[in-house]
Amino acid sequence: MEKLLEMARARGCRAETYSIRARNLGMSKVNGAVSDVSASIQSGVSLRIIKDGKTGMAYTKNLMDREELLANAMDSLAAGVQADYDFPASGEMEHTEEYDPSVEDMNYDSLSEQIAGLEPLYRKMKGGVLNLHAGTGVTEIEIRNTSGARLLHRDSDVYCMANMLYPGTATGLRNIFQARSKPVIHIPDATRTVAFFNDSLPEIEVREGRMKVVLMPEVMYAFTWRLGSASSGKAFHDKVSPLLEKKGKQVISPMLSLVSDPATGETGTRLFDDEGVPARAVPIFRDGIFTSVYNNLDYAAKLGEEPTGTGFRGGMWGGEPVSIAPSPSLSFARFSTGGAAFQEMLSMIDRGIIVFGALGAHSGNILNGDLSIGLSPGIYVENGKVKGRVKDGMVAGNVYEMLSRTIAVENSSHYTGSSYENPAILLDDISVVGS
Amino acid sequence: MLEKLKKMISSSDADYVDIRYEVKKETNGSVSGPDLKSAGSNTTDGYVVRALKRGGFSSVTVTREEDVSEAVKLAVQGAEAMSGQGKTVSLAPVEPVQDWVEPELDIDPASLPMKEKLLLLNKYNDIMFSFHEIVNTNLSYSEVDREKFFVSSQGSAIRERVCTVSIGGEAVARKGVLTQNIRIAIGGAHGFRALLNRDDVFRKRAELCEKLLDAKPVKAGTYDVIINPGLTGVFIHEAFGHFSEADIIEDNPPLRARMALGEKIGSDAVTIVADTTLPNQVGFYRYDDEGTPVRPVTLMEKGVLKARLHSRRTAAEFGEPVTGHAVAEDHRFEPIVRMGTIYMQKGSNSFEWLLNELGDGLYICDGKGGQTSGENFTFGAQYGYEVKDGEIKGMIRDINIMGNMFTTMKNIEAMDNEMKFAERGGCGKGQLNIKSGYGGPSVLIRSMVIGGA
Repeated sequence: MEKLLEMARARGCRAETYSIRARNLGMSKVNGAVSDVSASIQSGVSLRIIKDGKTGMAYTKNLMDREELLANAMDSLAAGVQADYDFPASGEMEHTEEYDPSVEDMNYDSLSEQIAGLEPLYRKMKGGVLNLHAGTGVTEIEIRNTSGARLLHRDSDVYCMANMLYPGTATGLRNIFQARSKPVIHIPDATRTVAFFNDSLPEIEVREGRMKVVLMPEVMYAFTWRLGSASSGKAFHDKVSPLLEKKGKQVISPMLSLVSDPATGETGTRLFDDEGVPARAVPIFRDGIFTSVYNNLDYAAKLGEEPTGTGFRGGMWGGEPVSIAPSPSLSFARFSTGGAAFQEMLSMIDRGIIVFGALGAHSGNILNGDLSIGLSPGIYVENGKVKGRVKDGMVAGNVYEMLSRTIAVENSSHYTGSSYENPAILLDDISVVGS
Repeated sequence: MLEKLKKMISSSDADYVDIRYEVKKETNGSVSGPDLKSAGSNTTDGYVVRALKRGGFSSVTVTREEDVSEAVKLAVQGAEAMSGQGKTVSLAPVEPVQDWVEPELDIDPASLPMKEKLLLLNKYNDIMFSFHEIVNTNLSYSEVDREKFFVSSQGSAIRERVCTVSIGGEAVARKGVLTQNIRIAIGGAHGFRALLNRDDVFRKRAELCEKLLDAKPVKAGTYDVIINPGLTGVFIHEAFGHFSEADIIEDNPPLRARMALGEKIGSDAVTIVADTTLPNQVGFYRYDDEGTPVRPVTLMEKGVLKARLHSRRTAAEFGEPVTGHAVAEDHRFEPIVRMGTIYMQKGSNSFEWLLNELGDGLYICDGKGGQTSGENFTFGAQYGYEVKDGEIKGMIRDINIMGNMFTTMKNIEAMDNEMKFAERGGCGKGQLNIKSGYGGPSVLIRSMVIGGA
């Protein structure tokens, strides 16, 4: 990478290299039988250059020919993409606290043990299909630039997951447990999910109308997505955000705060973003008040603001990190916990739905905050008691209006995969449609 | 390359092993409003190894050539770890094939300079951005050129190039605090010409986007609807197509029973075909990513299930013929069962006749993303209209549809006689599949659940 930087410098460019190495193993078991075993060993390098206020980017999976990579970046630069920023002088940093080298040695037997540890917790399921998965991963990201940044992030993770599918469907409830080397299986979470599963086996039709709705941690990403779309530096620069005139104003319930903080996550942290900017806490909404616009180097410069350490390489559909330029991202945003125990929230429901999964969260006018999600599944509750799962239902509304109707926030957070970790939220008077 | 791949797997003691090497060249350019955001051309490559041993089946993907020998060993270890653990895998037989397939491209995009592609992108962007209430655009040029080399221990050695181009994205209109957007996509898998002289398409989409600012939000409820061809394709893909992918239902016995071939699950009006061999469609390819030639499959005929889509593994599991639908996004993924081109057959009557049959209801148009979970599906529509007494009235927005596949297929009453296919594919079943094409006529469906905003 140093040689690449030198070569770029010799062409009069400022430059940044981003390299990634990842090794993953996975195993799945369906109703006691191993159904899938797979592994991947992937790597890649991305080169960004800046010269005369323009930027270019090139990438490859196999760095066989540095000249070719640099030539591709120079071609890209020639197209004329404007860059009003420089790569940050973030110094030297090695962040390996999230890395356990023993994970490198884990094999399929280790995954089989993880699954075996999970299996007994779900024996009380009264029907349906049990899918169990386990996996390991080691990821190393290195960022270097001509401003002197020499940054290394290495982490490991081991996860196990249980999916309980309702009889005759592909819809169900799930738990996921993850840690850097040995996940602690949170038995109360598993017990609660099995109890919900068993109580909600009967399929029922629910009269359309407005009612209370509990958003489980598994669906909060659909709300973060919309809020994040509107509060990004890109939406503000393009002047298309519905929050343009709302900074400092109350836009959702005062019971809700949404903070992006890559540095302090319970389930994986980043001390710098994918552009090498030090990560820090960015309160997007504090007590329901719209507080901050988040950005990356590009949009920070365009808006005349400081970078917020939220420039990450990723897209709506995942994608290859080296091939995607950094953009403003709320990958690490979480809703703050509130003061209600989950059971307490349940007892507040006279008539309502608990949404355990969202179908079609990517549909609709996301920027505007519109949301219509299929209940996948939704569990119907009357007077605090589970009555069954809803047949063909949908929750619909606009996230700003919906989240303004918050009446309780759970006092603990739950990991739901991909660094998402949120409490459950209880809303009042939400539109539910169904057949 | 094929000879090199043969050597790479020759020492494996697996019962079966295959290897796929892919070189993927991506050329992209993107604009956001007046700003050029990216431009460039890059090449990546990688290997996918699969091994079958004593009924266990495993895959490994690697980037570097020096890791291939480890990948072969790891794939065999994975197969051994699975062997005897409950599920015994076998692969349905296919004839070994030696072939080299080049796509028939009207204009090979690889022969054109980047500058020409960016000029075209900017031209279409300028058309949309010139509309008064369009406050932003996000458009991109995408060219994905994959050269695939496949070798199996059963004697297949196939080289196939697939090349897909598109210009697509969205326009955003704003009035006060209300923003509305509309999607657009042109392109295909048969060359650059599909992108030329399409000014009208971009102009009409920009007009529609502006009109959405004055459209009414649809009231949530249950409606009789006509869906246009743009939405029929998404509907067939989401509501039924995924359910016809064998891997979706294989581990769920009640679902398998409900989807047994010969079951009547749709109305008499419905015939659905998966035909990836259709020329000039975005889904077109000759061989799937495990070397099976793809063939047309009638999935449903007059409401009765006739066949489903398979990989070699699922074909053996179900005891049904292979279809050639094991497809991977690229060299980072093992192939899984995917749709190529899927469509609903047209009817014999006009659109006006269909409107008259509808009477009161909604006419909803063009997909805005969808998802399925078993029998349940949901997808968004970009815009629509109220229909009163068979006449199209005011425009509506914020339309999302939710339904149950079994119920909805029986509620399909009729279709008109005009077919259209999507010019750009897209499906996110674990991996992105840009060659997932779809189409159909306008279709009348009774009692659809619509969620408004």
